Amino acid sequence: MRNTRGIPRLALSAVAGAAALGMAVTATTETASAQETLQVGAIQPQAGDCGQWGIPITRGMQIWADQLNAEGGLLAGDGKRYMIEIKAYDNVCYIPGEELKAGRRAILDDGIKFMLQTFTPGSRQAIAQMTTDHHVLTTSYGAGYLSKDHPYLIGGITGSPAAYMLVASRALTANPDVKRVAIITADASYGLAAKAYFEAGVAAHPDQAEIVYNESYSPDATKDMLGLLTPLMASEPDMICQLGFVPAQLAIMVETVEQLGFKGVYCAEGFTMPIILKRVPAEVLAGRMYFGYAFEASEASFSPKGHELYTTYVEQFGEDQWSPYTPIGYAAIGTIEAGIRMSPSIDSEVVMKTLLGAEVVDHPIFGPSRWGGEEIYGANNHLLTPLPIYNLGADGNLVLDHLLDHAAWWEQHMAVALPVLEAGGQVFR
Amino acid sequence: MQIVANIIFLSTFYVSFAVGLALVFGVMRTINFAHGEFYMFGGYALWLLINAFTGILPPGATFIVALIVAAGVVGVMGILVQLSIFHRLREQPFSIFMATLGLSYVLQVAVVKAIGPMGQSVPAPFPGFILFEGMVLPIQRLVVFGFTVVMMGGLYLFLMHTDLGRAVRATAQNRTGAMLQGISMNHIALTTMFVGSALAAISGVLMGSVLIISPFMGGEALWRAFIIIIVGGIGSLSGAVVAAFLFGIIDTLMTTFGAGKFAPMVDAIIMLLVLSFLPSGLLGARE
Repeated sequence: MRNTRGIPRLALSAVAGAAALGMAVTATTETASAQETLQVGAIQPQAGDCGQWGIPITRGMQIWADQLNAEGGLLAGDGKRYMIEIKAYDNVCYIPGEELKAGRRAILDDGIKFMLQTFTPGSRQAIAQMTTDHHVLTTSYGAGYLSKDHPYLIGGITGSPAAYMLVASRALTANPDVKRVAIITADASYGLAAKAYFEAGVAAHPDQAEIVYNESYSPDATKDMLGLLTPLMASEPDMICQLGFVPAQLAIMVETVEQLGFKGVYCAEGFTMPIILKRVPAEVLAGRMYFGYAFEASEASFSPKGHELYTTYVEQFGEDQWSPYTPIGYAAIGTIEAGIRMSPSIDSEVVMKTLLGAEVVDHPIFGPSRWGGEEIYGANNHLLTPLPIYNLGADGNLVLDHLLDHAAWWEQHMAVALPVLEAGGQVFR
Repeated sequence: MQIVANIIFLSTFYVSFAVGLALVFGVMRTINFAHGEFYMFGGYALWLLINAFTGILPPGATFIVALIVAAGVVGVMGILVQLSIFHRLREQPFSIFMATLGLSYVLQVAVVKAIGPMGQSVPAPFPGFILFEGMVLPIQRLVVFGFTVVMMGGLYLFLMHTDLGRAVRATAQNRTGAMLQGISMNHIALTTMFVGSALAAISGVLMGSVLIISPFMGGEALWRAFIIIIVGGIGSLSGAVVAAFLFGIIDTLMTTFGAGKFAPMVDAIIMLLVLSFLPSGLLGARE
């Protein structure tokens, strides 16, 4: 009897325990579904000198996630909210082999389905097939290695390298007295792309300017700016377009060419002005610094939402850690955000098809933008967002110089720019 | 003529960094991989002091204070590395190699976490430039050149005209012979690590005034310095100076004539050729 009475008690206890456990599991599941997490990968340099690009970009993405999470998560087109978790992967310094290793960790080990990576063509190529095979929608701050064979690789914003062409063209338009252009870029695949795009931007002004210096440099040579820039200055340029110097190197470059007598204008993807202004006074450089990449968040007029990125970043990391590269990851991941918002499902294939199938994408920073890229890549996978171009005001603050319509510029100048890009090995259709 | 000035300025950089490493390697016979981070600390000492004393001290005076403070603090760090790593792991060169490599990563990450990954640059403490015979001579670079000459002169006096310096040289030339003369190896090791680390910090302050200051600046400089001390002759200070000027000339000319992107490759080939045909380097003593 003791046993027969004991068994029901034991069974009762077990049932009660199971019920409690079941309730707990149900409660946990309900909580999880209310706060389902979407992992977003960021493949960027996380150490070394290139970390000066990659770390601020990753931080920008983290702030993007924090802002959405503070709203209760990203409201997707399926009506649910998803918390965002950023996972960073190191590609050392945009080295294709390291990009592949990072891609394997992200895609094969962690199951990432949405990702941001560099525009650097060699790095994008390294993981192109993997992103296609595993349906990983991968955005970038520009258009590297886009192709109809790899629809999951998209160019999320105008960005690199198209911005170089547009900034060079804008600087020439604004300075009709500029006749001689010097181009100096890093000896890397992104530098070679920049070289061709700067050339294309100058080619759009055939009656105005010629290229008088056009060289690549080894990153190792940047410790000797005086030696590196002496031959450039011997070409007597009116405008210097550069790509590849990290922000503090760029400050030394500006100081060095100023010492060597340069009085013309500069064009670049970005200038970290606080560092530069420690070396050269604002009144000397005012009106001479043309740059544009994504948007400059420290300048408040273009995008109040984007300016929040700046204020948050400065609060977290300090003003001297601000980088003009922080907004580019923030802006590029915004394209995936737009896709998830409009897609009926967060399945990456559905998001990709919804995004690329949309005639107009309502980008959270740039507003309505259209796809392009067919003439260069053979696929319209590049979102042609408008490009804000900035300059330095006399008071040392940045000013919005011009908002350039990328699509309209391309339509107007494609006939002269496209052959130059082709000659530079940048047409892949 | 500008090329001549550029050669001198670049060689100055190579000399200022390589001699400390050559001294440490010559005496200790092992590599301190954290030497580059000691150099980086020199750069950050300048940056911190310039920021702290802006409006209080003239930048030129702050520059000199930074030289003294960085040399003292980093010299003491060298002593701590000697006591905690080199002394404990003596007779185990591979363990020292790994331990100092690990230390260099720790120091890099510590600076990234404490200050941030973004490179910094300081306004030249001695701004402006001089035009001379068609050459542009930035005053700060002339100051760096002058201080490097003073640093080398001081090192020469220490090694050639003091008992301690002579003991250091004796140890570098023949460790067993020096011990038989009653020279304390521990004392010499501590002295060498202090002086070598202080030289790295002084180099960091000097170069921090003309280059970028970043948590990773030491790693780049270290690899270049390895090539210089290997070509000059491991442990030979005069060899390091000669090799520094050799590479200063080669790198400057290649950059000037549009072949700068090949300079690292050419430098490595020269190192391989020297190792093949002159294994002791240009001025190194045969083992």
